[in-house]
Amino acid sequence: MLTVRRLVLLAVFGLGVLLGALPFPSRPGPAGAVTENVTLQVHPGPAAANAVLNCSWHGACTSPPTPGSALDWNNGPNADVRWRSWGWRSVGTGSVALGTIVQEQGMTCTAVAVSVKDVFNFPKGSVRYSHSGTWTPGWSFSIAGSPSWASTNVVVGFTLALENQTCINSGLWTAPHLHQDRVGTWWEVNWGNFLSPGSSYPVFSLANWQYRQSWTWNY
Amino acid sequence: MNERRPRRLLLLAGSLGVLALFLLGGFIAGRVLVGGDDAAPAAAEGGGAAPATPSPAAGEDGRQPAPPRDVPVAPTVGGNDPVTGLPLDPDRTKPFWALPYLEAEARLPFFEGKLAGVTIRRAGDPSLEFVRQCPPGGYTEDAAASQGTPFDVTLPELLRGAAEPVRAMVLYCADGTLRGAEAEYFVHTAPERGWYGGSLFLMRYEPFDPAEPVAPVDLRAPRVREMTVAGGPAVVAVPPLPHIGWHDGAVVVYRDGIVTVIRSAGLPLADLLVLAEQVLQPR
Repeated sequence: MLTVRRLVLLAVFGLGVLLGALPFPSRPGPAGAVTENVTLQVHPGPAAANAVLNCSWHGACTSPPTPGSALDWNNGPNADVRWRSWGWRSVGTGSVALGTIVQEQGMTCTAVAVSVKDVFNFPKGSVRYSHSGTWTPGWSFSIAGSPSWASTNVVVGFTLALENQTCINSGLWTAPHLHQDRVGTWWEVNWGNFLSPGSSYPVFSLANWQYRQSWTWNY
Repeated sequence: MNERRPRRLLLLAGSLGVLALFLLGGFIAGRVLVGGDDAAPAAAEGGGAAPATPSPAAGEDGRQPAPPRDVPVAPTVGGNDPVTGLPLDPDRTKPFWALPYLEAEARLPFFEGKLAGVTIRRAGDPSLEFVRQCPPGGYTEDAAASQGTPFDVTLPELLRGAAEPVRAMVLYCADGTLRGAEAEYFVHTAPERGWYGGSLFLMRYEPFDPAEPVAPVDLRAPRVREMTVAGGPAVVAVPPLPHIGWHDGAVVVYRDGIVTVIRSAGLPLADLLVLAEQVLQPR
């Protein structure tokens, strides 16, 4: 009798295990399990909202220009250099990334970079603004996104009135301007746009992005 | 007879209760076996494109950007950073975990001064001449031109296959001699090595004044140490979370008439020191 009771209890326990192990297809997923798509567009950074393009896609704006993914924008001495971006995210509204301002000084030219990391701190490359200085190295700012796009427009530096001698001697600088390039091939380049030096562009219109990239979050 | 009924009912209810308990116990065991509600969410799937402009296609190199999937959680060292007071093992699965660290780091003063035989100055001063002057002889954007020279900025062995070049500049004097070289690399995610994306910048040059070599590089003062690297003195900026290399690290050395600046982001201190050894050894 005792053995039968044990068998019954064992069977009931086993039935419980089986029920527990069954999948629950109709059950909603865990509250935090969300897949979200993000797109971040970075736009030209000269002070003027309608800015004149000095040099189309290039590495160095020599004659002829060397191949590269940078643009030269008209920007006078001490004029603001701006981080301009539009961010899109499929689910939430708020920051998609943090930008950190970094002052760089290589052997040739002086540059300010904005290092982009998503909100989970995964690096997304950076955008470099050459021939620029900053008063706020190390400062970070929030890069906005929303399902209907959200903009970020922040002063990150200024155009140098005079570059260093090595940069000048290398033929990389003749007058104050903004040379803006991407760092990291994750940035897609808007090759089909900004092809007319001397023309002005409304740099913050959604179509006039200079670089962009997309990523996906699971959280 | 009437007295026995309640006792039987009690026995029946007790038995059913025991059975229900066993059933519940089994159910819980079953959920635990398959992961239950805490099971990891599915891997990333491609999703809808942004509505106002077309979804970005793959870059020109054909790669589609995607974040790493294995976010590290493991506490590794414990304790708090004596400089900022922040925990050394943040929960890196939480969004914005890095924000208080960034803010704390931004408040730290920059280092300026002489250490390990080289003077560190703030970056960003275009009037600062720190590279040997000579009649200019042009440049090449190919880091390979520096290979085998004292200015070698090619990719160190540790990062081979794990990083891609971003830009390079090798500077010549008019007489054809090299005066310096610099190169930047983007370090890919390699969770098995504890890397979650970062960068490496190498700059090597003959100083403007060999008696007073200067390196323009922004280093936070509380992070700066003098250490022995590759058998000689070096200025080392320790990353704020050294075991994961979060944020910036650096090694600056003046040796054999050449200033070497190594800046890293996202690389653990141990790897930064290995990289410095590899850069500083003749290659």
